[in-house]
Amino acid sequence: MIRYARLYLHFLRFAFSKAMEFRADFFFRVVMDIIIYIVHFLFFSIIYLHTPILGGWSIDEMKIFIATFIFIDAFHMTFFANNTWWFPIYINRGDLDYYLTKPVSSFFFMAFKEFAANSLLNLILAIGLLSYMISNHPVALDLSKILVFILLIINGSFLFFMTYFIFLIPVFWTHSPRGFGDVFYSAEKIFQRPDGIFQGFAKKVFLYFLPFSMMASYPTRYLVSPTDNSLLLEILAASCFIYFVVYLLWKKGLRNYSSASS
Amino acid sequence: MSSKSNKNWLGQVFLMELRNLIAYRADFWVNFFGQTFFSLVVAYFLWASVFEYSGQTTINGFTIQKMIFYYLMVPLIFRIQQGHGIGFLSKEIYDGNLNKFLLYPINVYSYKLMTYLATSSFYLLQLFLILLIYNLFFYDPQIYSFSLYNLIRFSFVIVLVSISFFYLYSITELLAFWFDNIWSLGVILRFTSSFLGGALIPLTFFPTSAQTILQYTPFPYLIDFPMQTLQGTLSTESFLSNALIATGWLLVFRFISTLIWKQGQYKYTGIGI
Repeated sequence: MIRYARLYLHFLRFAFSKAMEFRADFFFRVVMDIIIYIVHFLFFSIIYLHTPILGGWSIDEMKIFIATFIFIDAFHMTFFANNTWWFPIYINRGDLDYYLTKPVSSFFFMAFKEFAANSLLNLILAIGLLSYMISNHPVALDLSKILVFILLIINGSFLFFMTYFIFLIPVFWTHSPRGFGDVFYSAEKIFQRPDGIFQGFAKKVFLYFLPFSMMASYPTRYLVSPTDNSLLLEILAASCFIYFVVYLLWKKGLRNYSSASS
Repeated sequence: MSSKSNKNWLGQVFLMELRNLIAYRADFWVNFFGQTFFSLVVAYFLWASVFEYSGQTTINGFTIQKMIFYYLMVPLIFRIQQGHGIGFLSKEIYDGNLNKFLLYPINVYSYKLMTYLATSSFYLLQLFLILLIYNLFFYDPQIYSFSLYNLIRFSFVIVLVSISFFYLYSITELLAFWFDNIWSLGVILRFTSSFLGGALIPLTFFPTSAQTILQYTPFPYLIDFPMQTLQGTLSTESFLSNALIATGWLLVFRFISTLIWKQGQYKYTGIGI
């Protein structure tokens, strides 16, 4: 464990020195994320001009939800996004060899090597935004629930990454440039919508099979609704399922990996 | 270079790009149908919920069926305009690959525009395919009015706005001459144009004051205008005035882009990173 922590510190050091090379990009990223945050809020503000409730939530609850998915997105951008970007390239160029020959988990290398230091400021902004929304919620929220909520949204960030990875992992077989990443970009909008709007079979799929609703919506529901511990069990079960699926797919993918450039 | 050979190389570039696009066919179709499916599912549940809670069957002229058609077509229209998407010029500058284009006896802009339009054309064919399926199984004149005349007008508009978007995109892309990595600027442009153009929410849902202000920006002419043309909701006068304004924006973007290109070349070292 200590070995992995030390290795991660090295990743961080490299990431910061790399980020310093592109200072303008550092600034542009902050501007980009602020604009994206504003657009998300405007989007739901316009929706609420035409309905008082959406997915069972008022505008105040929705603000916490928006800040939650913004946090998860910022977390993903900072810790995982660059790795998911490089993953198909590693497979197609045969660069995965480099990770397979290291005396550490190849998945750890693949998932964590590229830390986006230029997105760190955005993550801090997102944390500030979420804290503001929680502290300004009209109903005082229980501190213990807030602590559990923090754990849930960190888990939500990992779930987001793992689900994205499921869309990318077919690259082991297809050798295409982006796998099914484009499908994920359309599907990820599910995670930016409250689970309450989904009905029937689709609701079940988005909770347990492609658990987009478990990432931001369920944690928000846990925080703003009367205590319901069954939500925690559902999140735990869905998370274990996805982590297990990724583990199996990774093992299977590695068996199919030929190392040859494509 | 004679004009005939000039036409030849543009055609070759166009065809070569089309071949590249279908190199990974399975992926291509899975991505295409997957994107369409998820966009539609998300839009359906969101708006079904809005209609249900508001207790209305029509909001701002949209029924839920009209809304589904809107969200079926708008992502496709937006994808057509996106062409190559972010990086079609900035990556060449960043990597130093622009050298080859500067040495070839061809115009870089023409080359890039041709590859951009090849991608757009391919997505346009996808839109026609989806439209055909829709017309065969779900067509309802209450939702949209199909006619060959509208389809021809739409094809003209979509080419016009795709070229416009190419020049608009190239403005941010060419800033790579100064800032190297400009990916974020491309994302800003894509995100704001999708929101302010009506790809996320139809513009009639925006407050009236916002709609008025937006008329003075290029964004409604990029997405809302082609969508209204496809739906057949524009009178001939409105169509012509919108087309004229869209052309005006195209010329503005082209002018700015050319200006930046001329300035940027002096900054270009050709080394790459």
